[in-house]
Amino acid sequence: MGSSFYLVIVGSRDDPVYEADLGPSSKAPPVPEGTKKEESKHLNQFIIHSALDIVEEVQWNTTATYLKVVDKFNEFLISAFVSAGNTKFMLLHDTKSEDSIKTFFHEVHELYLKVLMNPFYEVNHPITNTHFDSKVRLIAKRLL
Amino acid sequence: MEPSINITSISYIRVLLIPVGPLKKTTFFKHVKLVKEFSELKLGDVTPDMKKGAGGRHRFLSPVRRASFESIIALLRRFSWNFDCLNAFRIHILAMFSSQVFQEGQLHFQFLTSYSRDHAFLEDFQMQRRVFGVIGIMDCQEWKDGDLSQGYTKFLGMLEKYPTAIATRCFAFDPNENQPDTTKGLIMIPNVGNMSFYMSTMICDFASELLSEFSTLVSIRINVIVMLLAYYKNSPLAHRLGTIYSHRAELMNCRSFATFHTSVVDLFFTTKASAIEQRVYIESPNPFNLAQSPSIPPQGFNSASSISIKPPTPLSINPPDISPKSPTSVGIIGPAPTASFSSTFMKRAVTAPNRGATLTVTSEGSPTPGPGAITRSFSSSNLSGPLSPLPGDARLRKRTPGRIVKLIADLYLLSGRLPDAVNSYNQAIDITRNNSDYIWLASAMEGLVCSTLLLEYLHADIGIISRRPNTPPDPPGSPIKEQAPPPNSPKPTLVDIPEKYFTILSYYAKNTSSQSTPTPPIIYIEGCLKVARFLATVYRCGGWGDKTLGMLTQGKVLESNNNDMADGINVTASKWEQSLKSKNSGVLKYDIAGWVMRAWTAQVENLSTTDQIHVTTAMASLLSVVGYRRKHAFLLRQSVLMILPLLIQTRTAMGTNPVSGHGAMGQNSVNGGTNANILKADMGVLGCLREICEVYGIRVNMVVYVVLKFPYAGQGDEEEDFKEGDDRDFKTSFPGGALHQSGWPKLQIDILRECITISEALPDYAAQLHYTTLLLKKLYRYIPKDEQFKLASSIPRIVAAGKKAGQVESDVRYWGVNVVKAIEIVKQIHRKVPYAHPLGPQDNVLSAAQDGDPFIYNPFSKKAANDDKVRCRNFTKIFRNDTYIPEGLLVTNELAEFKVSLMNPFAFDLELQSITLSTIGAPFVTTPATTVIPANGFINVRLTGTPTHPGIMTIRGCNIKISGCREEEFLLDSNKMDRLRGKKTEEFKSVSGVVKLKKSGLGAIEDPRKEARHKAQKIQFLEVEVIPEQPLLKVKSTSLLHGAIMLYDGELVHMGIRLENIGTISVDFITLSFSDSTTTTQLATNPELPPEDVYEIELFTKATHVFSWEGQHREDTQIIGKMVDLPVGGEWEVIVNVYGKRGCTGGTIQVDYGYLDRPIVNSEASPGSIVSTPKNFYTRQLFLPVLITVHQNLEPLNWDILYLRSAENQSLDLRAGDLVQQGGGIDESTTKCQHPVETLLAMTRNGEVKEKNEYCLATLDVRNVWTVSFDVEFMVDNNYPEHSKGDDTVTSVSSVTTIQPGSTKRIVLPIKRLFLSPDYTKQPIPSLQLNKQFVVAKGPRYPPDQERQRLQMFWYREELLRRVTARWRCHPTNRHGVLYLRPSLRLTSLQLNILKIDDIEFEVELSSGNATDYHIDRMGHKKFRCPVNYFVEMTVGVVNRRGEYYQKRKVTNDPCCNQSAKLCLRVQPVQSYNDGAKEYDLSGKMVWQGLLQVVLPEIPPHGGRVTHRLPLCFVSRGHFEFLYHVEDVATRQVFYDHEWAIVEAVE
Repeated sequence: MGSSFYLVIVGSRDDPVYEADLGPSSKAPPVPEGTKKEESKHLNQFIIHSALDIVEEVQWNTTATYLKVVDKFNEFLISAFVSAGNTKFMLLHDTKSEDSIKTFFHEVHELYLKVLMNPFYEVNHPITNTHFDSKVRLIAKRLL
Repeated sequence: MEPSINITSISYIRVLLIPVGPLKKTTFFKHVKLVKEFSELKLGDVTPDMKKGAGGRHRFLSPVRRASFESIIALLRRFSWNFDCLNAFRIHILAMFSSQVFQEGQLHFQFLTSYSRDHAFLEDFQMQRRVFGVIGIMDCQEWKDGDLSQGYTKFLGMLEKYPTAIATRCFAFDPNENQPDTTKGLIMIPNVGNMSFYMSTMICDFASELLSEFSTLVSIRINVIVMLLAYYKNSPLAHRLGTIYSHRAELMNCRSFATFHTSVVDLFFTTKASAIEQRVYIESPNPFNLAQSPSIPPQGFNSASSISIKPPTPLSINPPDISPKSPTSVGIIGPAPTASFSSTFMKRAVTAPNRGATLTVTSEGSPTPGPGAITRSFSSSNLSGPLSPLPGDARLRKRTPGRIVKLIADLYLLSGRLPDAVNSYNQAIDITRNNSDYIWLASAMEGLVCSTLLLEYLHADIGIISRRPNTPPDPPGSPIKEQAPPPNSPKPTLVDIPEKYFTILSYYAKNTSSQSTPTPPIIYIEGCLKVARFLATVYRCGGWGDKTLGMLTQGKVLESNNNDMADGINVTASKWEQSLKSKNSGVLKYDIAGWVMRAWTAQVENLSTTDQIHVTTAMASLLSVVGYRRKHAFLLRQSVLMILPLLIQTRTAMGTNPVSGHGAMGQNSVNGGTNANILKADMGVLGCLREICEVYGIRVNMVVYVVLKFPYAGQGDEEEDFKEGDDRDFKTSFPGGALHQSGWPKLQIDILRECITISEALPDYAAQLHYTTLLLKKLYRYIPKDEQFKLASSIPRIVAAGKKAGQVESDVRYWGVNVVKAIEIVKQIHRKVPYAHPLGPQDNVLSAAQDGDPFIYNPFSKKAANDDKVRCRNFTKIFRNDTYIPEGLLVTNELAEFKVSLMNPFAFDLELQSITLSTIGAPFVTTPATTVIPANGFINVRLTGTPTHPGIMTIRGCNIKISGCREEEFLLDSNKMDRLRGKKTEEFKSVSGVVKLKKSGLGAIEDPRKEARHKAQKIQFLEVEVIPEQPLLKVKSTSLLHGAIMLYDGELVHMGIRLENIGTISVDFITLSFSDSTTTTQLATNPELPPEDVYEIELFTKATHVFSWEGQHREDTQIIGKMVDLPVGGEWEVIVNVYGKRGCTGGTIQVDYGYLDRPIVNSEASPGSIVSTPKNFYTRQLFLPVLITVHQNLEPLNWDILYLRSAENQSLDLRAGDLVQQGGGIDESTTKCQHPVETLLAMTRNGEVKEKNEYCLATLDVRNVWTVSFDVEFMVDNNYPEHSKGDDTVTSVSSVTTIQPGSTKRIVLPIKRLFLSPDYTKQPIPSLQLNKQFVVAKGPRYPPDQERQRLQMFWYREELLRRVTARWRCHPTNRHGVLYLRPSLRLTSLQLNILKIDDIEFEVELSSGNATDYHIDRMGHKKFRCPVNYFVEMTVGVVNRRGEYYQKRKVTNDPCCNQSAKLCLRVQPVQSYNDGAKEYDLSGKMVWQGLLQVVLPEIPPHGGRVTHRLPLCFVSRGHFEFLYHVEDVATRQVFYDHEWAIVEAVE
């Protein structure tokens, strides 16, 4: 399928801890007409960033960590998952598949916890672990 | 569209305020503000139609029935084409909008200062878009000389641009008293008295005119419609119509009508004459269509080009200068200027016949008046409506009435007659719904919502509203499911409105999808925004209520709140309250956001650029209200990006042709205001950028690194802001701080790049510079090298450009990160380092150790008493205790060096043109330096300076001038420096404890700022103490050659050191201390070594000093202070003794000196009180290294201790022991009681034989390992108190021997045997190490008697070494020294037994008893000769000498002194042969009587004696020896006698 996914783990200071373009096609999703190409270079990031507002509100209205689809932007949907440490997992996708995304989030979270347990890793710092990266991609391939 | 679109904005009457120049901008806006106060007007206050009353033309002032409207409807329905009838109703229509009908109603004016024609095509669809009134504002002060009438004429001229205006006024403010109020139509507003009252009257008057003109409008409209219909039906009728209306126009003197009329008339003719090829959809009576939306404008609306020339920000005054073009392009030949509003309307109207359609009456048969009838009649026809669309014209025909009703309802709403509006809207809804005219239906619903809301606001009687449910039921399938809610219960309204709007929007959407004429997106978007704003208002107000309603109707409070949000995002207490309130409002934030985003999804990009900007701005502001700041920023960024191309376009246009640029600004823009406008507009954009940056985590403190020349006033606050920000920035920017950044770097880079582009386009050089520097400073980690370089190189360019433009002053502030990372004081060279010595009471550490406390540091021990009276001026004492090198100490008038670490994180070199230390406190003269920090480099720079006065100096950081920038102070927090070094200060911990708040997202981003501010107050600088001047000494010369000295082992020499004062003040205190290679590199004592060895090692390392001062060899001479007086330039010599210690290779002589008794300067400052004395005094040190070589010259070996037995053959012994050289050259002075050894020997041997020999012999070999001969003198001090019996007793001997190189000589020394009391020998082996922590001994443990033995050995050895000393002298070189005997002497237990005097003494006597016939010869001590076969009697006496020592000292109470002995004596006689063989079997050789083993009676101490008699008879000749010993019964200790009794039995 031609859907693309974009995962960002956002730290508590709005800083991306981890970013991954998980789509089958690596190129950015089509941008709405009228906006220039270079402007939309980081459109995914911008969309996800703007969705954080809603995550911040929604996370207090539920006890679940998986917040489902929190925002829409044009044809993109943004699903979110908030960890206990207020780290936000944001997934930009264009097809609805709640269950698989939920599983995906939980597994990525599991991985993230393992990274956290690393004594050399500090919270909110970028994850540069290649192992983590490949694992995330594997999960994505399996579930998304 | 309006950025401040509101749900009630359709009830606003737009009134344009235009300045009639010349007019100052500020004056204009002052007046605008005044006028704007009256934006809300109660209908009851509106002046009753004065004009009509005065003019007397119309006498229809009687209250108009609501029925009038219905009658018109009825009339229309009937389409009876009776013009008389129509005329009759015109009367009603004229009075339709009288203010007197609905007194509670309100008029809402929306006073505009700018007006854009972009949406003119919507004006016939939504009446409120039209500019209904124009008010000119004049300033009489500007027309002092001129004629005011000219101004009025000018105003009239301007009016032509606003053809839709139906009421106009021209106010002239501030008239002079002498200015004649003669100009007709011009209203002078004097600046006296109650101006607002006056103004309100004026506005009411204006409103009244407006209302009356509304009526006209409606009538025209109806007339036109009728006319058109008529025209379609019967062309010739038009001619008649034309004449009628031209006549009417005269009568009514209505300008707009006149215009309208002429245009209509003209149109009629032109349409006939020419075919207008306008692409107007015939089936779309709507005054617009998508194909003609502004992006692809018809010829008339050259929107894209015309808009782009205008400054797009809402603040700009933006007069429509384009309207004149439209009619011409449409091709209407008529009296210019023709209203564009009418043109579109006409177009439709006119083009309708082109399609050749003929109108027929829609519903012929039901002329029943009343709403119900209408509904019914329409519903029947509606049934087939959507399913089988009628042909275009037919449908249009069918729909037109509904639309008319809707427009009339709009006017009702505008005029504040809400009940009528509600009714009309309801009717309009019915009609349009039946016609499937969704867009009008939706619009009417919007109107209905608005009017019900307004009614609710006014608390109007429910009766009117309650009618609403009576409106016909919805057609099946309508999305509105819930019509039931009681209208006046608040919550449902809250729920109802969004639901309604949901329906409305779905209708709009439906229209787009189902009709060939899609809904213009702007309407849809406006709808979304209206709901969003509505919800946001409720949200902000914390729920539904009167206040909320008031805000909704005025739409103002929200705005102001909005501004608050934009200004600063500080979370104050009130904000918290606000958020709490908002939470309880029942409106969810994401609902609001959802509505807002719905607007975004509705194809915003299809709008014109201006509209896009407006939409996004409105969306952004709404999102900011609900606190969705990221979304807000996102949209804001979008809008800024949209503005950007326009900006660039404008700038280029201005650049090439400044005149046209001004033209674009607007011809009526106030004089001199253009520039200010631009700047203000720019500030708006820049403000947006700033906010965006904030949200994306870029901390924009507006640190402007250039001094802005603000061309306009009112920037004071901001400037302060800059300063504050600047300070903060430099204080807090620190290596560690930047490491963890918040925000999304990629996005931040994007944003900042955009910011740069935008500020470049503006061009705002200051901002451009700021953002460039910010990008470099904050995100250099993420920017590739070449871009960094580009950015950096662009900075000077920007500055240059800015300078040219006058925005930037010449000196740019440095923008980057703090390059100063650390400042350290470079340690001075050794001899210049001042050492501090506290003058106060001493620490308790040492005192504890001296008290014998086993713990080196005892926290419980009392602190040393602080005795103020005895102020210790004994520097020597203090000196020894605690000396330390204080950190960071500078000396007045001496050059100090600082190591400054500089870092450059950028990918380009930073050139520092000058760098100096920045200090406060004690005056400091610094020397500037220059350097270049390489790219990504780290360098250390040494900065020098001289403090000129004592005191505390604080080093704040560095003053650095980076090339191209102004000199700047870079501060350095020493706290952080410590932290970097890993020192966790208490303060830091506490601070970090405070900071640990769980905040995330934007809160966390904003939080560090506060934290930083908080920390900034606590900034700690490096503090340095500057102490008074200190003297300086140098070693001028020493007596050594090349600082080296060769010594023999044990040699002692003197060396002289000459010191010179080369400083600026005199020295009054000098002390020496020493260290040598043996003490500095101590042998590690093995803890398992036996204590004797440890003692030996310690004695060698600690107690033997290489150096000593002033000839003394005592312990305390090692460090000695001395008060001297050494003036400047003076010299002083010190003599130091150097001792040749084996193994020593070198040492250091340390000279501490200082100037202590300096006068206390501030004594008169506090005359009464005790003069505060300085805490410390300081000394400096001078080191003199000495190289020492120690050679061993003599080696003592082979110690032995022998019995000295009385021997017969004395002469032989003498000869053999040729030990002594008579008259040896030992110092006469030292050998007062000197005796040759052999004399002594002889004496001791030849003494009374009966007496026991007190001496033993010590022998040792001394080998000369050196190459010259040495004389060795041994001295034995046999003198000890308890043995000084008589004066003649020889107590001290000495002998001198010369030992040739390479030879060995045996030295024999007679030593008096020693007796040491058992208690003395029981003492443990002492340790020389002070402050030795008590530990359980790890050495080998021995049984008690062995232990006793060992101790005895130790103490006897010590005693022996004390008594025997040796010196050597080398005659050729005249060097002399001590022969160190210690290491060579090891006592064995046998030797010990010889050396010591036992407690138990044996006395053996052989007597003949009573017999006289034979004689027993006594041959010597215990040597007898007796004849055989005679009975002799041997007496063995045992003496207990225990306690004798004590007795002699008169110590009696000691328990040791009363030790009696119970002993068992054993005697064993043996026969000794000459060959040494011994015969134990003596049967037949001798006989004895009694036992050889007896238990003696108890022997009392103090020399008690017991004798045992043993009768003997030798029966054979021979040499008999009697061996005997006693054994202590209790302790089983055996005592031997080393001299046994010898009996020679002879014939």
